Amino acid sequence: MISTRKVWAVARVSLLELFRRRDVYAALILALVLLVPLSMVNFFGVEGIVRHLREASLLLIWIFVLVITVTNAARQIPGELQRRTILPLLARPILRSEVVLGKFTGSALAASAALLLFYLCYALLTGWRSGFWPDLALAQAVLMHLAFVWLLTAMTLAGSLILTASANVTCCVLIAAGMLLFGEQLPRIADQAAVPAAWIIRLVHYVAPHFEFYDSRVRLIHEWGAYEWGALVLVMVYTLLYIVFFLGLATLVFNRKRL
Amino acid sequence: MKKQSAWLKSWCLLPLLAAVALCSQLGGHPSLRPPHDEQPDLLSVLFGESRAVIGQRMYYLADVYYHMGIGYADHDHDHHEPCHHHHGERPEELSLLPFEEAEPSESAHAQGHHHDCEHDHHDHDCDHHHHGHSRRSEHGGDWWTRLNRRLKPREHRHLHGRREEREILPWLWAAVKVDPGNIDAYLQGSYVLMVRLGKNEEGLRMLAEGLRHNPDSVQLYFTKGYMLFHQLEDLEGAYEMLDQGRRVWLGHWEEWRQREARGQPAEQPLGLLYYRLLAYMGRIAELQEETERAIVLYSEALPFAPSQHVSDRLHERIKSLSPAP
Repeated sequence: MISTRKVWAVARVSLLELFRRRDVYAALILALVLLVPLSMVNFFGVEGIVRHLREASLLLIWIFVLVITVTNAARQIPGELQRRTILPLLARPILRSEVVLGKFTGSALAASAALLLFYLCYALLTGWRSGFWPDLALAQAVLMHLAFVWLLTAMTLAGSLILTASANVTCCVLIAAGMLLFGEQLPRIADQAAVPAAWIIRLVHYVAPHFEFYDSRVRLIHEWGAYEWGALVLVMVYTLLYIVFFLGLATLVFNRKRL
Repeated sequence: MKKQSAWLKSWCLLPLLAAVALCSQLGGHPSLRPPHDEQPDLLSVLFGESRAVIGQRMYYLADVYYHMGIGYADHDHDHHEPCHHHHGERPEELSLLPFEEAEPSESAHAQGHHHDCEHDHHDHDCDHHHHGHSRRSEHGGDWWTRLNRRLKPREHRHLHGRREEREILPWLWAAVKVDPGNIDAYLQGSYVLMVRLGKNEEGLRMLAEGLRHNPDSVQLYFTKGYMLFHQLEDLEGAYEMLDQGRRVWLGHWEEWRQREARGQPAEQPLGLLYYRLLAYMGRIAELQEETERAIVLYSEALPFAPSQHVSDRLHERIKSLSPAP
């Protein structure tokens, strides 16, 4: 039986680690350095132009959150193994599955906190420029982005137990970025490809997590309004299934790992 | 040991000083200067010839913004063509018979409304049409594709009103900054600024900048003349601009014709552009009550009329202006 107290104890350490490393602050400062001057640019003397600013802000948020999530999740268990601190941790009455769950919860919460901080700055910056303050569409977009972060954390954590650290980071970033850019077009690409390639692309389409589901940028930038709730619930269920799969895989591999 | 270190330091400094001195001497040497006097700007150094492609991409993004973030390749329809005509007053979309238009002030007003109505009507049609498509395609494809369709907006919609239409300006601004040869971006930008946002000064400044970078673009002369005529009712300024365009056209048409014969299409059908210049000049001459000049200009335009109908109408106009025998 998994103890939530033990999971939380492991998670707390991972959560604190991100903020101790100051990656988030560096990303935030970089984003502000880029965006504040952009918000001041005057195009032909016309005031109140805001969509380009939303576009740049959201792009930076997506890039920073992707990097923070992957790098943070990728070093959770390999870091403990490298420093040999995993041995005293496992010497305590704690299950390996609790360690995996704790590491997942900690790094996902840390990345989520960074994401919320970025979106707070986004809402303030674009609200100040356009007078358009947070609404349901933004709340749903944040929820979708949070789901993306949790799924990516689970995938990276599982990858960190199978691949080397650098290979895992590279693969996870490539999969996430690739699906964000091309995920929606995979069936069309498969239709146009020759037979062995078409099979592979179709397999990727059916097996790999569709990270493009979570991308709400066009909806937010161009004010298309909120998602229909049915679709949103489907995406959350989809996310949950993948998280369970990746955490199950991670636990399986970690249980078999000889330390 | 200390003495050796000081000696080494001075020997390190010496070549550095020599290099600086040599550089300052060589900087002004004629053989090291670039072949042309004009210094390339930062963007030219950074992007080189790829500027045109990047500028075109920026222009495409203005179109994407006009369609509320949906590129024409992503719409739920079969024809993958950009639809710039909705937000740009391109010369080919203007009236071929300017003398049948209302007076400039009325025309500008009416044109704005007409454009809006056309938009509303078109949008309505588009939305209606593409909603239909979306609903139909929602049932096609696998589960992932269907879910994507529910999540991603893909209807054919346009920006509406001043508050929204101004949003395409940053991309047009960027397009002309990156590639000052992007004539489409100047035309589009000046149209949005002058006709849609009423910013005549800024629009004329943009066209003037376009002409500074592209002094051979007859389209830019024509558009500036057209805007002066319709937006500002500056008949003299408009005539002067159209006349400049005509002179440029006459100075280049042989070269352009040869280029066209070699299979390199001109920016506009050559005859049509010339026809428009003359037709609008004739119209202005008419409004200035210089009937004889108007007749000469219309007659000169006649061989370049794009269709029999236009030619017939122009004939009738010339006849009505000619003094009775």
